[in-house]
Amino acid sequence: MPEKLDYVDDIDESETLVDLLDRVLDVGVVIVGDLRISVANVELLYLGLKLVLGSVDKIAGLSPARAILPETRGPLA
Amino acid sequence: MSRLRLIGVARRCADEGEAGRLACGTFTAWVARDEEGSSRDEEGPNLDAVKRHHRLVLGALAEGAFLPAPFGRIYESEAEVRQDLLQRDSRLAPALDRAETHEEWSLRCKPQAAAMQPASTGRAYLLGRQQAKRDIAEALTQANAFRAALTESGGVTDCLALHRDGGELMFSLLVRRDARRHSLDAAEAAAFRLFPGFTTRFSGPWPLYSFSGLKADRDETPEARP
Repeated sequence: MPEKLDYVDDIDESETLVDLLDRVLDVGVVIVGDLRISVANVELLYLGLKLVLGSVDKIAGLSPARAILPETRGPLA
Repeated sequence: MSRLRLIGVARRCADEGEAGRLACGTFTAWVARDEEGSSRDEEGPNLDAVKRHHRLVLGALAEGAFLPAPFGRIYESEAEVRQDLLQRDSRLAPALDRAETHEEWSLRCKPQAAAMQPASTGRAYLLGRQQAKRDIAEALTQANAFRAALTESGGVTDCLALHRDGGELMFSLLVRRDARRHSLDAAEAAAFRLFPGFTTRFSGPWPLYSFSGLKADRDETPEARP
């Protein structure tokens, strides 16, 4: 029986989400979302985010697994 | 026709006939099916889908040693999954052994100068940026020394470094679970010594995302990347 797990499961906090993205993303993945930058609960900036990881040749060379290339933008949590 | 999204890999188990599990040699692949033409936006490459992938990984970990796949590993058929995993056999088997006893931790080191620099004026902001660049240039030259120090300290089995724009360093630490406290203390002491003027922040434990043997290149070249 596996021992009791205490892995990070609360990933809604922004710094923790960045930690998750640092580890879960691989070359050739495009992440689409929206980013809100705020200070003291005042929203200052709202950005569309499209993050491409990896060079084009590496993305093209990812076989048999395919890189995900989004056709449409998706919502942020 | 449906595509297969790889969640991760476990040792071959008796219940491979279950939906979402695929026998691949000595392994069992955990997969999710994406129906082509589906309007399920949640399966697209957005942050929600990343979070969902992580939750599936955590669910698999509850059943034993598990190697999490990077997000977005898509295959067109079961045969493609099997072919890819069997090609990685020599890396996956030892990685699964490590998964029994190790966990991953994140250590982020951020230059204090940039964080403390008020952005109220353009000049102050630019000075802060220059200082941060100097700090990070120096830090990068010592990243490999940091890795060596951690490995020698015992407990930390491996370390990957990532340089983020803005002067931040992020390390992925492969840590023996039974030496967690000792390893993290050693990492903090090494960071304090090698990166003066940086703040440090740990998070974890994480599934072995960075040490799974399932990523494209990083597994074979664990060097600090400028």
